[in-house]
Amino acid sequence: MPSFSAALLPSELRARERRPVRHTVVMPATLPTGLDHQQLIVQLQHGQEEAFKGLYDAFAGVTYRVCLRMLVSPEDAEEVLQDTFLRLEAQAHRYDPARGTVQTFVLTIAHHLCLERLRARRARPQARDGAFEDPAFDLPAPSPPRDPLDQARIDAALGSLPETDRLLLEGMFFGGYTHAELTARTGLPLGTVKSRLRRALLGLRERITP
Amino acid sequence: MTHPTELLPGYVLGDLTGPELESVETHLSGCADCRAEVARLRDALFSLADDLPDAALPSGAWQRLQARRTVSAVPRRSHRPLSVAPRLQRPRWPWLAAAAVVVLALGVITTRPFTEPSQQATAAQWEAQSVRRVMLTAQGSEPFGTLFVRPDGQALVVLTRPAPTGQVYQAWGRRGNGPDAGVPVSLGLTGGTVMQVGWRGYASVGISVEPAGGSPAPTQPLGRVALPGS
Repeated sequence: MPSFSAALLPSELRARERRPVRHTVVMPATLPTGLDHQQLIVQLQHGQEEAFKGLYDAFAGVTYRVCLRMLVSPEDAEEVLQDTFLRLEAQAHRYDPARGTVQTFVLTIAHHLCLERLRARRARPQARDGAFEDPAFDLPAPSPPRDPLDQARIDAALGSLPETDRLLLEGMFFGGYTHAELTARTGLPLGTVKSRLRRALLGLRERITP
Repeated sequence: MTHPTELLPGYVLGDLTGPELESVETHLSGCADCRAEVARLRDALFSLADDLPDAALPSGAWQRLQARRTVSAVPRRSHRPLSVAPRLQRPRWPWLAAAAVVVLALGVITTRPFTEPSQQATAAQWEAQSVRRVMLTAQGSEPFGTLFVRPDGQALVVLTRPAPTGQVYQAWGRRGNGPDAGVPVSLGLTGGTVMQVGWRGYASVGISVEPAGGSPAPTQPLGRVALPGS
């Protein structure tokens, strides 16, 4: 289990509390809508080449960011990016709008492929162990280079629950950790981990559909 | 109906116990509202990606992807019926998932031409199951086909005659009926007279005649029927 020895100054805590949720907003000339994406995937189902490029232009960026965050290595991230779009082309017929957006469909493929790689890595013997060396747990820049699960313990202790919940969810989603692994790494009881993950998910749900 | 609302986040996160999972899946099979909520929760989970810091795609990434597509030259599978999207929930029967992968792989590798089953044989098989039968009728004319609707989300479209030469039949799903029907989504197409489609999430199924290869939106609609229970 990672140890935490650094103490936060009150000024640091206040700064963290003020830290806004960062949303990466890229404004293209014309913003494609969900219906546009559905149209593209229908066209891809019918083998239309330009639809494949359209979907790549729409989702390659966010897919690469997810892969890079999970795998850290740019080479691995690009390889999974390619695997994702090859699989998307082969499985476009499986898209069901009732089960989520096209972005979710694409990212589900990428996420699954990244998890496979992370689990394969972890199955191999490692020279070092500990969350400080685990790249999947790096906080997004420009956050301080502190292990997020240690951060979660700090937040829990200080009562900053939403941030703790969010970090746990990111640990599960980007780090690929199971609930039991999160429990072992944070020292939080399993029931607490589960309830905080659910609360974090509901918080995100409120964000997208208030 | 009591909705298992409090269990749905756990369902998306994959942390339900066996009995909880079973009860949620049973409920979801018959509740469009909860299926929609699961979709929203799944979208919410993946919205974590929206907060990641910018990272430029490596230079030449598209060209390298194109090169791999050329090398792979996997036979394109097209016009398959709509099925379900991958999900975070772990498969309940790993051997079944493994078998599905093998079947999928064989489907890609083998080059045996697909032979469409005869209309009579397929319709008879579906009639033997617990299906609802709905006539497909164009306004003011004879029925042009039959829709066999199975409760597991699958339906069989059986047309009375082949499409005109060089054209195909294409099936479309809509989320609603009447003026709020929403955008039609392609469910599949056939050059013959029989096709299986997935109807889950839709309130109606329509059929149109399209050029070979299909169209992104219906151009010659024949008619549309509401699904039982919608």
